[in-house]
Amino acid sequence: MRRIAILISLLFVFDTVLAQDNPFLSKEKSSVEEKAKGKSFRYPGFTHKIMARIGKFQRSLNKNLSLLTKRIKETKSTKLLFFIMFVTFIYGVVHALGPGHGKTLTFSYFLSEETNIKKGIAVGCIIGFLHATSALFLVLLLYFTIKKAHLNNIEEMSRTIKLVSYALIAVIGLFLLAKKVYDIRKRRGFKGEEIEIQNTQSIIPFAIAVGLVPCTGSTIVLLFSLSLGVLKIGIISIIFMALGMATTISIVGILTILAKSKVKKILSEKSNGYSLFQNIVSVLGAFLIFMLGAILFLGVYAG
Amino acid sequence: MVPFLSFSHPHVFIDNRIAVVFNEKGLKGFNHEWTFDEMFSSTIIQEFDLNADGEFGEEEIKKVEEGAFSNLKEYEYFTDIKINGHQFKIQKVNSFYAEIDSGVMVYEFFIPCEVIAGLEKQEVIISVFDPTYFVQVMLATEDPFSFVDTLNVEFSYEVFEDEGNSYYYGQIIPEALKLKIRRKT
Repeated sequence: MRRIAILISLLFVFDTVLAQDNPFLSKEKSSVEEKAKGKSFRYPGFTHKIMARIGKFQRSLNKNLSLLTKRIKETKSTKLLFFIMFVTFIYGVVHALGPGHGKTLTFSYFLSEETNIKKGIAVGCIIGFLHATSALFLVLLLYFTIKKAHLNNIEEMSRTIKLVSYALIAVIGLFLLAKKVYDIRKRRGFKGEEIEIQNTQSIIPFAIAVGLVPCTGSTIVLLFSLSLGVLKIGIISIIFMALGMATTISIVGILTILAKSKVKKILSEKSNGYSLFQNIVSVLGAFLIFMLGAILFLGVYAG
Repeated sequence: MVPFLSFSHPHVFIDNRIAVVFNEKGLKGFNHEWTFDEMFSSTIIQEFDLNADGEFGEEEIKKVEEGAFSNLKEYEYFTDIKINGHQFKIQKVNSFYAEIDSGVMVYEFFIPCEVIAGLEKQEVIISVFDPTYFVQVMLATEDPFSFVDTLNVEFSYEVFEDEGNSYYYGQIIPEALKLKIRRKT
């Protein structure tokens, strides 16, 4: 149970916001600042040393990526193409570790739903790929229609997509919440008998709702490759970035599922604890999804 | 179990150079020179280098300022200044300039911050960071600081880890410049 508690607090702290606003362009001031500056929770001293390293690491990945893209344009080397795939994959893994990319949501979802590891991986993949595809779609749409694929108008369009995505998330959360409460009452109806309620809930609506929001990192990579006239390299880059992000999100899903089943195993020795735990986490998870969806929606809507 | 979840991602990287500018009375202000990463640069250049000549003309610089700089006022230009321990509120900045240097974008602007140097030493701390971590601001590796018009002041400085301004729940500590100034006797 302590592990679960730690997991919850960690995910919350780092993933309170699904997507950040670009301070150079965005008209709305992000509320992240106040939250992040809050003194209520602080990480132990050594983390900033690791963070400083990671910061430098990301910086060099970013630099390598732009250098490689230019090199490939000049030399058309296939060897470098493989190298760029590797670099972008790592970039994706690290990129998705940051705030956003739906980690808290994925965690909440698997807290709520009875699933297996396969589904955990599927959710990670759908979110990761949709996240990048959505960026690709926007860039291409603007590029081929008005020939003006700019960060500015892309972010404006993302705003609408965000609203849709967050509204969907809230609705899905509400639906799950209603279902969980209904299931629990139904189970109560059969006293003493443990009724396994079959979970036929599809993961797809949830994954789509979360993944819909275009990934700013991918957008920047695409715009860069467009500026050099090598869109193909940009597309290859974001495919591998997506793979990297999918890996990170899948790992969050898998860890949640494993942690939950471990707690359940311990609790199953005590008959009462098991179903109580089951009920609490499933309702809590659904509630979190609803709340996060609603908060994010209001955050964008009010901005 | 999940320590790696704590890493964050910036989307934009800035190498920062600070010029400390003095005048006959004391400190006049700070001049920032921000060199952006090539990728983010390209997105802004595409949008604002309208004639695509690889340079920002006078009109284009104005557009850059309106479209991709002035909004930073909301973020106090990522700059935190303390004078003798008191927070200094940045009212305005001036002399904005943007240029393209072999595909990389550079912003320059001046933050007025007047401190009259007396006989007692005064302490000014300047720390540059984006608390939302959309941008990662780092001190440039070569010559991050310079000092201009130092004729009438005596000063010393040091770079330190500004723990009071740590952000992301204490995970990131910006490097700050601590400046001590007094009138030349």
